[in-house]
Amino acid sequence: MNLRKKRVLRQNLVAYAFILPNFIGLFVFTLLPVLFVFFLSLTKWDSANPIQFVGISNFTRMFSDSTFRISFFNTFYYAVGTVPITLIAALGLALILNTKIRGRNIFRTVFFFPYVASLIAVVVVWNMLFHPDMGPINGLLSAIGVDNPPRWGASTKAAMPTVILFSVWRYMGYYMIMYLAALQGIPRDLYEAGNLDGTTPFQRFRYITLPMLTPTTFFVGIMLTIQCFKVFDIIYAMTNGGPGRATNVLVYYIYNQAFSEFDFGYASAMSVVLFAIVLIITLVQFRSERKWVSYM
Amino acid sequence: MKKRQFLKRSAALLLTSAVLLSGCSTGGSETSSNGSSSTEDTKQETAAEEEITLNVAMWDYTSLEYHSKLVAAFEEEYPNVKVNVIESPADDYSDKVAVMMSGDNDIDVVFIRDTASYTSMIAKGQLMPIDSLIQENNIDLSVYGGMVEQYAVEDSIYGLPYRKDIWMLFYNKDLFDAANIPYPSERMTLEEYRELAKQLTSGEGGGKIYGALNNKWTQSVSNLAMQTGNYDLMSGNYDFLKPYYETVIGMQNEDKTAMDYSTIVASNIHYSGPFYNGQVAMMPMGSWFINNMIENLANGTTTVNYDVAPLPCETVEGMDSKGVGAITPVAIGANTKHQDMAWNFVEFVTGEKGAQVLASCGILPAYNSDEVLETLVGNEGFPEHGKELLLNTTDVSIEFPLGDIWSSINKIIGEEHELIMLNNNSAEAGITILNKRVQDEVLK
Repeated sequence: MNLRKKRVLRQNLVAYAFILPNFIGLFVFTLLPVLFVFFLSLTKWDSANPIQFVGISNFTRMFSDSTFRISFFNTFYYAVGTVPITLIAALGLALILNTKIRGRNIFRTVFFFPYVASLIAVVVVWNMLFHPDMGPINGLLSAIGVDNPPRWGASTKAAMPTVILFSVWRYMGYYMIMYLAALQGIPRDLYEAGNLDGTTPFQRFRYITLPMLTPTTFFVGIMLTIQCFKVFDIIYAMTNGGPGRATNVLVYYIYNQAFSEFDFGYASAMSVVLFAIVLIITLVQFRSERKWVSYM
Repeated sequence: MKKRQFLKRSAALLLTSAVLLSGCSTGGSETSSNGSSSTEDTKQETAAEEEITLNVAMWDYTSLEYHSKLVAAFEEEYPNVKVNVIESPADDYSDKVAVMMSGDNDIDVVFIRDTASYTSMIAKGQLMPIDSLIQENNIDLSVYGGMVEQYAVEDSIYGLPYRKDIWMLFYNKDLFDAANIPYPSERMTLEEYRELAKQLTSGEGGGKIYGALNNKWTQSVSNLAMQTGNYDLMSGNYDFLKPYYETVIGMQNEDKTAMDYSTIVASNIHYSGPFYNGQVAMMPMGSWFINNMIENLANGTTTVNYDVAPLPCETVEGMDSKGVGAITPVAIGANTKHQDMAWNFVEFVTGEKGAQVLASCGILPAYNSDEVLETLVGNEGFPEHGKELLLNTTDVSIEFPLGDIWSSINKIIGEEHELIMLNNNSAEAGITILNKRVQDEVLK
């Protein structure tokens, strides 16, 4: 009996030893900093002077901070705009490029390309294309008779839609690949059975393809939502939160508070709020999972 | 499961910060300069004096001739010192240096790029007060024309200036000649400036000649007001900026005589390009642009005949000796292990010898003397009325105030400035919002 226990322990120790290197990395570089954020959110710290405990005043400060309100709203605006459009665009592309059209490999590459291209490079090109006065997009729009083409990134109203448009373009290729993989995983005999029953193509899409894709849609939805709530790079490269505060989002504001104002306490408190928001949304998504996701 | 994934993600933000901190404390891109101290020199010196390595943080060391010359001249003066320059590009410099100073650092000397980072470093105790050193070494502060005192924080001085910049109106003489208009020799009112820009504007599309270029910065507008010395950018009341915004906006939107803000921003146009190409007749800019003109006239990038005049202002009365500008202080890091040598460096670059080096490159040194001015004026390509203007401008207000709330206010001014310039708000509405925001968010 004792001997067996010892053997189990030894086996376990071997297993732990294998996990250890990875765990140390996770602990030092991920777990500790995350816990530190929760601690910092209750303090005032500028990275040089001693840390001061200030209770929940960082959290109450958010209620009266108009920039926080605006970036909070903008983050939702961005996510609500980007997630569904990207999902539909990715699905649409995948459906088209799953058929036997000519040059589909080329198209697949073309649509995937924005995701791997250097962000800064494509942003520079976009800013030129969408230049309100000299850009070819507005040139084209005026040529076909649009009187007041949008001022894109130069107006407070059009700036966020421009960023959303860019994000959809950048992300859709990546999620298209996921949908493609899922489409190819749908057993052919389901469609054959459908054919035998004399269904229309739309019915086959509605009652076979879509339900079979729900696990992917679920996964893509969650990934996209998280990605949208933590958007930073696109904002940083494209608009710097401007014009004014029209595209300032939470992570961008957190970054500014932390690394240009050196107000780590307030920045951490906002990170905690962001964490809570994404946690709640993800939990809701998980709750709804069994209602509409079908794992055959 | 997803929760853990999210934990990971939010940690990524922190991780980035850790990477930033560690990345910068080892010094972004370090350039060790050899200057004049050849190996033989150093060998001889080691016997007599201990060799010291001085860590100096500055921007654009490799690309700015006057920065490299300044360091080389210092190394020549002190052969036992090796200057280890920690440089980063000018635009990122303040952020980089702030992060660098927050970690454990052995920075001996810091060049300061803007007042916001200056006050924030002082508040964090990262710079050393140098009042006693100034006293011990009998430094005469009057050579800096009263500007060092304007940079004192809580009655302590933390840096001596090596460079001074005074804003002026640069104009292209060729375009005035072509339009048959006399040069603006005197200070203009805002109306005169706007009117003159109309007369100088011609052409359409790519070949359009603009009467003026008011660069995208907030100080392109605020400096015109600040030169009067009557206003305070930390007051929370910005009504005084209204006539200036109305002029600049009117030129841009109604008259179409000034290059458009959105064009400058979206196409990432550097103000110097249109001026070099002769596309712009008048441009309010700091005196560092004289150095750019001297260099680019010499290497043939531009052939524009230019001169300078005082900045336009709402009123010209009582403005004879007034100007607006900034000084660029050099400070000593609080953690320095070579305080004496760091001081020697500061004293050298901000004193007569450093000033001569700067002046020979066409940069206006903060140190003021007749000899230095002669060197500066003697540069090929120095503007005809430059000397007169510099001599007349004795009462210089600083463009941005000092104070720990300034960086928050500056951010708000920047955001509202952008909305006015992009036509999302009128000057009046924009300033009303600006007043309210600064009062609500900063002053409360």
